Amino acid sequence: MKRLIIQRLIALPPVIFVVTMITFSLVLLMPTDPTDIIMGEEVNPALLERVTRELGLDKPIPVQYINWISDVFTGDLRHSIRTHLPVTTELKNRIPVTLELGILGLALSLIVAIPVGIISASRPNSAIDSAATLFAMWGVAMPNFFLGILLIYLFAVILGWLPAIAYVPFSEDPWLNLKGMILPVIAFSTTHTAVLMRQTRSAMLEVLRQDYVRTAHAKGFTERKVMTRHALKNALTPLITVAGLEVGQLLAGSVIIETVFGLPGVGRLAVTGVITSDFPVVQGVLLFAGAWVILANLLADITYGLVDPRVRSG
Amino acid sequence: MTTLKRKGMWALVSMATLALLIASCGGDDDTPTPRPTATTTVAQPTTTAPTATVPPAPQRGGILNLRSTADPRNLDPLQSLSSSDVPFMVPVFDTFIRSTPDFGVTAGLAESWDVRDGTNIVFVLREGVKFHDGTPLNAEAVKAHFDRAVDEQLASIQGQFLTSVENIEVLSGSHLSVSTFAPNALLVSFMADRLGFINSPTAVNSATLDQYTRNPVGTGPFALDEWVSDSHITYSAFDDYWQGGLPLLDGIKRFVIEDPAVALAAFRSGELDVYKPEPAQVGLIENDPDLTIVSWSSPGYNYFQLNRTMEPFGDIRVRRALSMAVDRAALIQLEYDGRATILYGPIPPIFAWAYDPDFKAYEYNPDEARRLLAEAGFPNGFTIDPVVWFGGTARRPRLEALQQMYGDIGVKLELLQIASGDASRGFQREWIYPAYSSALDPRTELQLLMSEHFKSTNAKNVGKTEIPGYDALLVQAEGTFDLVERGRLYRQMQKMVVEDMAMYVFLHIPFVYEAVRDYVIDYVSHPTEQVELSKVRIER
Repeated sequence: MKRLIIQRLIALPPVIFVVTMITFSLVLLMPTDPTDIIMGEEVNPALLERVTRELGLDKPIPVQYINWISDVFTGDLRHSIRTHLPVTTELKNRIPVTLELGILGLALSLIVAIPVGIISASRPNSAIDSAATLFAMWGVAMPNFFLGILLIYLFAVILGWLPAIAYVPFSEDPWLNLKGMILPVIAFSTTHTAVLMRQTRSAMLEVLRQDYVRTAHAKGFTERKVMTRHALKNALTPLITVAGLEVGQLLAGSVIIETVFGLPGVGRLAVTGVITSDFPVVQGVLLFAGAWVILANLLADITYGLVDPRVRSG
Repeated sequence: MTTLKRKGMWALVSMATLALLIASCGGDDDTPTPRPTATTTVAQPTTTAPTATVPPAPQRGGILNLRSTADPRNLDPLQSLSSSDVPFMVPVFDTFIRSTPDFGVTAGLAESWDVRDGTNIVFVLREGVKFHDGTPLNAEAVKAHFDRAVDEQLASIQGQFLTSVENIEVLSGSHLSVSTFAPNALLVSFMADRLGFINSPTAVNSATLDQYTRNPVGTGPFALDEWVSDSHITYSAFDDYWQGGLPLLDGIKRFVIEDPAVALAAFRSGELDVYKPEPAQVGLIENDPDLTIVSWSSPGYNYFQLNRTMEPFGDIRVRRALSMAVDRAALIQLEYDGRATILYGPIPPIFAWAYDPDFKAYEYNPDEARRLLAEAGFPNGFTIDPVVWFGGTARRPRLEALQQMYGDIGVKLELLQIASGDASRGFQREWIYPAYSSALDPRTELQLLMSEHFKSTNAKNVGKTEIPGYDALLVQAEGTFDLVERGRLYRQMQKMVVEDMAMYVFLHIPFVYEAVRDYVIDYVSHPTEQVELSKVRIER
């Protein structure tokens, strides 16, 4: 197990290095000169010159990269052009919001998807299975930004139970914070729930056909014991793969949900960063996203090891 | 849209505004007059003495919840590059000169002013005014602010409004003299916008530029409390505000909500107290009995611009034909559900003292357009490749409609969506695209609208086209203190822009709506959101 983790950790730096290269060059591919966006339609040559100099855009590109990468390794991601705050501060403020959304969303997905998936698999083609299938199709097909707006309309405007403006800092009022998170979490988790539910069902169906399950039944174990001890444990491996991918996808989903619900998270930072050509922010978010995906994969790998002794022994 | 309908809309607009004003003006003497006060008039000091019939002074209380579509970029009035920052600054700053909702001017931090001769103005400052950090507001502080606006190091875009200023002199603690090289009738109204949002000199000097942009200090009724990027900004009442008993709110919270559907939901659920609905959303809330909707015509407009330096636009017949081929009424129906005004020239109707409702040019006439094209040697039309545009999908219907209308006279449009910076640089500075569909940012001073694009030396004038006599008229308007006379000059310029230049296909000017909950009292809408927030209160 230790060897596995060490192996994975050693592979990290080169991957991160490639990520920094891509991150930096992607920004160069942005169609607009950042200074154009900063200036808007009001062009003031003196200001243009000052801004270009301050951003280091007057230097050759390789020099810009080297300056940037050396700053990155000392933990300085520069200042946002738009908000005038250090990008590290921006990230530090926003990561908790995105994490809260992601963790709650994924937890809700798993809590719903695994039991329903198991029941679906144990009673294929039953009414409950058909209902779950219908939900899964709807969940995958429904764009989550639209679902978000519908939820707001129903729960905030018609029923008046929940706020339309979701965000209240946790430190300010934990209860209001959680209350505000309910709708974003539901909108966010629906697609994930649908995917994980289908995955659980098919993995379970696969396992339930195996000889050892029949053997377990023959031994006289209760249905429940067969399902949890023998079947689910074996069905977990593909589920972890998918869940790992979903964790990596969290940021992608948060981009939309955070924009709809006005949550000041990393996703929103990415969107406004791109729209306003705030390239230090775009670079910072991309770096963070890269690290996030790498970390999610690492965690998935380690979890494999925990549930599957074959992986552990290597 | 027919004239009749437009007049109907105008009547509605003025009635709504009037209703709100009557409902809200409980004894104050600064009710805006239907026509803006001329800049030469010395404004009356505002007194807030309540009349005997007014019930006991209202108690302070409540938070006013407002909405913006995006975070501000910069809260330092002198570093700000966009008028969209203004609403976020308004609670924090008193303006040197206050802009009235009809773009007139009245007393602000300058209690009165006296135009000695055309080139010298003496301002008398209000006494007993303090910045949020305790620094007193005096002539020195105001001078320091204007000096900073023209500081080359800072390169503030506000500096352009002071280029005519020769000298600023502190006469006493409360008297400031400003001399200009030539008579300048616009200086005072320039000071009614960001340029006149006076910063605390102490705060400016003790912070870096980046720090100050997030922590501005003014003399306004509210001080900035907390700024959570992409979420909200809160302000709390300033206890030492110079107008005793004001402000009447505990604070203001301005939310950043990008999606109009979500913002509307937040307004309907009571989380926002004031909301500017999109034209298409107005129908959804106009029957709500607990709110008042005010509307006005935007001070910016939409246009389609041709690049004269590229063929076949060198021929004025072609340019005129393209102006005539557009059915503007149909465009307004399509884009704004009928909630916009047809625009034939560069003067928006909100500048009522200069606007001529009877002015019409190049009305929809495809037959005449085809005839002009044939005369210019294009009986079978031509292709404009590409027409550049930017903005979200909301703009697309306009372009597709234009494509169809121009198709009718044989002119084919190839559309190319690009980033805004590319569009303005490529079209306005490098002149590499033949046509551009865009919108002009709202301006509070008509002189700015008339200078941009049309002045021969303006950066946005494609091809640096010179309209004979135009630049001289601009200078003349700048020195004309009489508003009626100045309006006449602008109308003369409008005619030149339309007839001699004909580089612009003026399209339309949308109405802006603002819905205010009835429990919000004395909220008087302002086209550039310079609402007098100190007097607003909440009575549930």
